[in-house]
Amino acid sequence: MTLDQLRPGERAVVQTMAGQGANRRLYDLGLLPGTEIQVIASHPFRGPLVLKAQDAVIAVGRGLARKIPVTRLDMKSGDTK
Amino acid sequence: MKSAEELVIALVGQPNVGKSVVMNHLTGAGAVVSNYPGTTVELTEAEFNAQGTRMRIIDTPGIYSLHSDTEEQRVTHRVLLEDEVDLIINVVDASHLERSLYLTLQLLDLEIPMIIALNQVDMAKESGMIISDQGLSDLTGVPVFPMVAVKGEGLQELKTYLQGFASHRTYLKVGRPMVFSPQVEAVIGQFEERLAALVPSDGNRHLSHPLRALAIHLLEHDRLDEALLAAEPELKDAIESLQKDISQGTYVCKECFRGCAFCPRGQEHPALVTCLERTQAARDLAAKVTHRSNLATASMRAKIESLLDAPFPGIPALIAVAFFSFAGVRWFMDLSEEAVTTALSPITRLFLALSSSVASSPILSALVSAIPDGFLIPLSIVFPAMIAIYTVMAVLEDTGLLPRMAVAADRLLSPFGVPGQAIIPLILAFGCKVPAVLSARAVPGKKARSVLSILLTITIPCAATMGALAGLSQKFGANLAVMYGSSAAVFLLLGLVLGQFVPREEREMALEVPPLRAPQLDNVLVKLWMRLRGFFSHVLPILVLTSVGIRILLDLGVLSFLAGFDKISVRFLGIRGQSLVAVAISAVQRYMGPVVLMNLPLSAREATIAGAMISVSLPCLPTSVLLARENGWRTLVIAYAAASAVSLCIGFFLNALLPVF
Repeated sequence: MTLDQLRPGERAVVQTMAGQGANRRLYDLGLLPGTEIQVIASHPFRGPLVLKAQDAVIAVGRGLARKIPVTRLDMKSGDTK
Repeated sequence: MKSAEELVIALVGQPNVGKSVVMNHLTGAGAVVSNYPGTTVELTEAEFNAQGTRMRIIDTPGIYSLHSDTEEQRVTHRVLLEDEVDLIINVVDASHLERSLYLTLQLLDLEIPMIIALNQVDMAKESGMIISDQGLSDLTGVPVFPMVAVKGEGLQELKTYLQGFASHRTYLKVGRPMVFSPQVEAVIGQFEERLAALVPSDGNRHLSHPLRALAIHLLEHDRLDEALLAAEPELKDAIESLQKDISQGTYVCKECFRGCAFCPRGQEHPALVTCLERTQAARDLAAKVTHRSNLATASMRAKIESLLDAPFPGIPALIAVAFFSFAGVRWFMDLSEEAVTTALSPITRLFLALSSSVASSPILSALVSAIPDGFLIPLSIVFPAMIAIYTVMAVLEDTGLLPRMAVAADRLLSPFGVPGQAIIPLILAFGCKVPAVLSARAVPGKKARSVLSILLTITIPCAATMGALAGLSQKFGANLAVMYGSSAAVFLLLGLVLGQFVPREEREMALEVPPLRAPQLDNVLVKLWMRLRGFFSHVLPILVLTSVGIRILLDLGVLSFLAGFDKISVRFLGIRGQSLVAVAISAVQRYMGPVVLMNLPLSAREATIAGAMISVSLPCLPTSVLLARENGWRTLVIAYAAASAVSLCIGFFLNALLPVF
């Protein structure tokens, strides 16, 4: 699944992204493969997603979020972490 | 160039981490301090003396990594390697330690003496993290200074250290570069050997890099500085073919026989492997020195942040903030206009009395009657508007509310082809176009940035223009709603058309949202002062000179030849030829347009049409210069063409639609 499918409150881990270079902008913001994220807010009308990654709050446009593969953590494993 | 006794110190760190605050404390100079990413877009330098040694401090643009993907990264990289920097002060955000340390690890590769300023330890503590500065120092091999720069805590220690180091350079300490996994190290080692043979050395540096740093830099497929390699085309070709070998897997290291693209480290690109390992190293390093306490309680700040970050009630709240900010600006302008006019009335009367006594000389009388007008309008309307708008902007920047507005505005701005960050330049444009065009750098895409810059320079009235237009409405009863309404219509239409030219990937937002904080009075005042001091030296003389100049031209009948155009311009635009001068003169300074109009005998209708045409006409001279510098000549030409067309269209339509009043 991809980042844009997550709902507010859900946690996920970023997977390896295809391609290179273009993703550095995301790396700079801390959205690297293996990073655990939590969606804080999802703006309506296909607006941006606001997430927490590595203690920082990051806003990502919907189209960009659609290109970021993630694995959702179910609530239990998310809580034990 | 630097002299022998001078020490060059570079401040390096992420955007918004407090580099400028540290700089201000060390040097006492006024570098602008801000709370939204991308403010320190230009290098700021200052000097201070310590024990007879001159220290030059360079404040570099905020960057997250040293890869050469962005202009800011390339600038910082160049400064560090080519400016003979003696010491790097790496400002690290204690509350985002893991991410900050990625850059720290890259800096350690450069083998330049370094110290770490561990800033915002209070924020870290608030979210339950205690960071061992001793531990961090042991693991990186460089001194660490914990501090809360905005409150001035811990800065004295840093200053004392720098003073000590002025007298004993032996303090200078190169840190411990990170070690990659054996496979990656093997590739780096071999790459180093090849580079050593290829690249001529300058002492122990190759192309200003330590050999290892150069190898890693090239492995990560970073473009080397073009200027650096342009002198040596053969070297450039050799390096590029080496990079290609590695990425295609024909380059074989001693660890395996299959070539790098097939390295067991993963199917990823070798560039990705080093980046990933560095990320992991930063994560481990952060974990080793961080002690998490469970004392983290949901603070007041965190609660407000979570409310503002949600679409509801975040968006309405932010709109309310924007609304009240501008209501405050208007209130202040109304209040101050009366006060300033009253205060200046004795001077006005004095000039009035003077004008009757010099009526015999046309030039003198024009001068005498023009001077009070020239001063009154700028001081009673333009200046208060600038104070009010700059104050509001400074507060919004300092609190971290601006980036939140960017997130809230993202969806709203997407039809115009620009990401949410565009809201910052758009709002700033209501103050002045010059900082607005500069801050458009917050939008990463080149086309998106050009579109945004064209749109805001044409359609948004700056504080000075708004003040001058208000004067127009007062003097002739020109209709402000019509003038601003037509600007808004042009913004929508022009934006929708230009937005079509922005490629999809440039529309997407990727932005860090910094924590909220209470505005710091001294930050706000410093910023206000820096922006206002230009008013008296640059703006006021120009306003007065034009006002006086136009008066004299009118009285001497020089402009009367324009009456020849009256037929055409009245027929199509509803204004006389002389008013067209006002529209054209806005290319020098837009707010001068209305000032020129005020010296003409106009009807309310004429003033409205001319004012509306001015408010969407050519960008002013300083803005034009910046527009070309930031976005290229093409953008400037497009802006001029669009502005001329739009301005004439507005005149034409208003003339056709407006009833005579």
